[in-house]
Amino acid sequence: MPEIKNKTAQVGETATWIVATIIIIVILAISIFIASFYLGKTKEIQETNPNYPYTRIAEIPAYKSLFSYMLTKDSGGETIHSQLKESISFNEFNGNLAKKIFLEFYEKEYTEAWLGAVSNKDLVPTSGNDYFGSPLTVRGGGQGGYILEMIKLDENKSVALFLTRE
Amino acid sequence: MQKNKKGAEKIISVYWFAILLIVAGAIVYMVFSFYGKPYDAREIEAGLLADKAAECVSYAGYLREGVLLNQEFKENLLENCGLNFETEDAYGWKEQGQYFLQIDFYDFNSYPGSNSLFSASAGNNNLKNFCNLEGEKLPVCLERGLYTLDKEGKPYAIKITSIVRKIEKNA
Repeated sequence: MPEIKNKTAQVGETATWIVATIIIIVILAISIFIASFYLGKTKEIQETNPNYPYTRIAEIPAYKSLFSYMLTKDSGGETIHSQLKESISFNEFNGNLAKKIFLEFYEKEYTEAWLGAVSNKDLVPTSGNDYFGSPLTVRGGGQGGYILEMIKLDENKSVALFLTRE
Repeated sequence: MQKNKKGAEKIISVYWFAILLIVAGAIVYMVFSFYGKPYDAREIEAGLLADKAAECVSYAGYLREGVLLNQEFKENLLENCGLNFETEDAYGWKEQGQYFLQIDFYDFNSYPGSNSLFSASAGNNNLKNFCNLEGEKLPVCLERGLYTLDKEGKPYAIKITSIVRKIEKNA
């Protein structure tokens, strides 16, 4: 009888170690898989904007394009900056030009672009517009955060360009 | 019974040693696979190069004077833009240029579809051939667009192409 008892104990102990070994191997396999396929890829460095979370450092060519766009004059000699300061709604001239620059000219560079008015307080777009549709925030944005370029119109509002890249 | 116990203890020791080896080996493998791959800084470098080129051709919303259709600007692009394509002397980088920069100017009103009005480039021209290829060990190519105006208000589309090779240390 005592021998039988010992045997049961030995079988129980062996079973425990087999299970323990399997658990150890599974945990190691998962760790190796994560390290190899997710963390082990060549690491890319991305710049983030310290002033605004979820946005990336401004890109100089895009900002310069926005600046030049605001300085473009219509046939009457009025700059787009003045036009938007008076009325934040795009007219045919500045709306079509914005579309040509930020949607057509930048088509290969950015997956999405949205230009419109935002509140200076929280950068929330005041509304959508006929040329760029609803703001990107409504559509969910892109991976890696937005690239945000802004030009102030007055104390309350700015013109903002949101760009996303894959 | 005592003999059996000693035998069991020996087996357990071998088992523990084997587990220790497996765990240690796995940790070494994971550390190596994480830290063994380099940080790829070439996209940022190519972006900075494009930014510098944009600063060079456009200022305060307008095209800089002496840039468009200026042969001297074209021939001395690096000096005019304050760029230096010198690299460290490793992996034969000195002999084979590691950078390429090209700036193409177009009339915005007839873009796309029109030929460039003016073009300036510097660096290793051969790197352009790798831009449309797919693979891991390839140079990083970046294209940035810039809309700008001349002093008379005429709009221009500028395409900046910047390429950084440096495969050996980044890819």
